[in-house]
Amino acid sequence: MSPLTDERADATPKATAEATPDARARLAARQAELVAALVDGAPAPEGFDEARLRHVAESLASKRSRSAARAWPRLAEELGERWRELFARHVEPTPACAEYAPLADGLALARALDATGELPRGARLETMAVELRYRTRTDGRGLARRRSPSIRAARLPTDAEGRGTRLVVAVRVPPFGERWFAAPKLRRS
Amino acid sequence: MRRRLNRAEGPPQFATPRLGIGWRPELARDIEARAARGALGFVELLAEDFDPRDALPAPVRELIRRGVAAIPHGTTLSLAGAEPLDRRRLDALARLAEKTGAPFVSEHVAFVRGGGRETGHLIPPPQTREALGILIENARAAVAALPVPLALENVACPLDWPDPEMSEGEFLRELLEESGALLLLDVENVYADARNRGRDPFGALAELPLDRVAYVHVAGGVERGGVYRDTHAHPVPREVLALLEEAVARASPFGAMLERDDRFPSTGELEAELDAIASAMERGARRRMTSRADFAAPAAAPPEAAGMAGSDDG
Repeated sequence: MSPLTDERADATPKATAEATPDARARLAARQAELVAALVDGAPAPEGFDEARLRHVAESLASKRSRSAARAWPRLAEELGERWRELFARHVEPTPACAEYAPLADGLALARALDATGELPRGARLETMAVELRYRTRTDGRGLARRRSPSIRAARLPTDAEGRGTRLVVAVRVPPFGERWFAAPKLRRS
Repeated sequence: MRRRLNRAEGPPQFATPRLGIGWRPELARDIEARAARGALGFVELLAEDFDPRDALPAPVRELIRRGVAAIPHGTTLSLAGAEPLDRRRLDALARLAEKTGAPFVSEHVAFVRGGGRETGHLIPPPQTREALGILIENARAAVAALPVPLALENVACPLDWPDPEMSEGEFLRELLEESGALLLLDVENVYADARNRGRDPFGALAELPLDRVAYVHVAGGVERGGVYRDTHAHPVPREVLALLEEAVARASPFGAMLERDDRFPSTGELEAELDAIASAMERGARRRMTSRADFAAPAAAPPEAAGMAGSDDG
């Protein structure tokens, strides 16, 4: 099971073990066990320092939350101190997504808040922009850049107090770019 | 045929190390200002943030136009992972390297996933012959697929796998020599690991294959709950700058750069951090030149002197 073909004409005698399928399977099992302990809270594999492992698991979770906050600056700003707690509550605690993970984590939070009517008005435009540019991957592992044209429309508040709304339409046509249109202020809502 | 680092050629040597920084949108303005006055040599780009099918962001294109080198830095290849390399990720790195005209591409001596789960974290492999064999095979495949030399970074992790069969230095040296990759030396990681294990960081540095250093990472960290973590969100400790100086005195890196990912500092603080890194590099380079000059004196002497030395030998 060679990972990728590689010319090995210059291969030197190796002191290291051959990367046989068996060796890869053994390493896979050890790594899976450690990953489960770090992201799923499974018991520490034999020989690991339990306290150190918990410490790494915690810093990993907090790093994930901070990365998502950076990818979603408006939502993070709107939620402020509540970000941490809301993120922990709404975003699945095991990082199962691979692509654009911070963006996907933030989108999971935005959607969860939107479902309960808690999505801050100031973060609606940001949510719309992310949904315009990315789609959920078909395998469920995070997001993918949209390669086909997309369109999004939303009624967004005209000011911070949300006294009026206007229709905002965004069209994106890769690779040409995107255009945003805002209809004139409609009525008080 | 793509260029491949020739093992016999050895790593490139750079007389004057360049100053660099990890490019982040939050720092783009400060980075541009520094580049505009010619005080920045390179930036490192978080490879996964750039889709090679899209145009590079305008601020990055502007930096490259100014002659600032750009180095793609990957975090998701999982070279130390048990599963075969993901061809798509590797291709994306290669295309980004071509697009940016990069001198190197870098990744980590780590795995980031296992059992189908992503950790979002760089976890070092067990230091066993078996894990090393798999890592070498993966790294060779990456070296072969990339258009420029690949540099691999030593990661820090307070976790130790049980029953190591070799030291970190031995593990890294064999990995780099067998795969043809270079070392991306992270002095903050050397410091963090040494501190967490009660070791002397200078001793730990000396054990690493410094002759293969491509460039150097510098960052800050903080101690929490008795464990020192590199956070990339705090000022660079003085000890880390001392390690940088030592590394530059012993190796001839392309340059050294600041990694700052969070709690972004003011322009003034950032400038001070970068200036401190530049000064440490300068001190190291001066020490290296001085010690080289001592050794090189006979060769640099005028022909008569060389002839006299020759007659002495005869």
